[in-house]
Amino acid sequence: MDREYNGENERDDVRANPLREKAEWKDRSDEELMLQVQQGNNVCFDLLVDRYKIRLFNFLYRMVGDREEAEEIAQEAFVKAFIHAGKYKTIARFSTWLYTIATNLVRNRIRARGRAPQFFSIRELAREEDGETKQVDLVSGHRSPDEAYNDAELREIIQRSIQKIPEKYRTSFVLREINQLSYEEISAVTGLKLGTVRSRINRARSCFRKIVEPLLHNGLDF
Amino acid sequence: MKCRKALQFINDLLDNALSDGNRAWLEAHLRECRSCERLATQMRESLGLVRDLPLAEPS
Repeated sequence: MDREYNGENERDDVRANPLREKAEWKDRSDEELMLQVQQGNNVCFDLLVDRYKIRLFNFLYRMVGDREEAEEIAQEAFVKAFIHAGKYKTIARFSTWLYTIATNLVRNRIRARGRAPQFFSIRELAREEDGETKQVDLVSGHRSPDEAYNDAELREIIQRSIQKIPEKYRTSFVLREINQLSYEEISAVTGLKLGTVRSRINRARSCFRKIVEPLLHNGLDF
Repeated sequence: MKCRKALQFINDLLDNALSDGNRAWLEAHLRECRSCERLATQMRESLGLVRDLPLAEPS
């Protein structure tokens, strides 16, 4: 099925009020919207993009660690979903189908990079423009957890720690812990058996703990 | 063996999927095993960091 999706509703020019049409469909299930997309209703696809763009972006961002690349893959995933809308079967949840497309795309990207997971040091994160390094303040006992979360450096450390989890385990981990998918959904997305999904998530959690624990141990005061 | 079982139960706990009976077993084990008690705390803390990350907004 050859279709082109450019992010715009091609029926805008013939519809009197596309916003009203969006409002008309907004309470429908994902699967109902996809049936409409299959019949050529692009407004319904726009609604699906609205529903999933942030969740999909976050999954991809946590997987690749680069905002631009994550946005690029998200766009690619939506385009692919649109082009292949005719292949979608409502026996599967739309979210599962979309995450499967995105998972395959991100896996191909990571493998194409052909590089090992990036290792980093706190010093590297703190390097200033003049080449001097400063101590990252992770250990102040005066900061509340809320304040700590406002710390872009801490978020960066968590992000990079996630990326240090081997890709084999990271996909299930991110789908579970960031996107809050059930084990059954992750199994459907990845094509792995339920037991394998469980063991990969458990391994990823242990792996992540070992990476960030020294940082916590050195002073994050929870 | 007990500690391996405890690790599985800690993971179940993190998923809110631990039965009352198994929770009681785990709590008893954590009272007597400092190593598992520390592990449980670290697992909860480290995972909390990930789960509480604010959603990033695409540009």
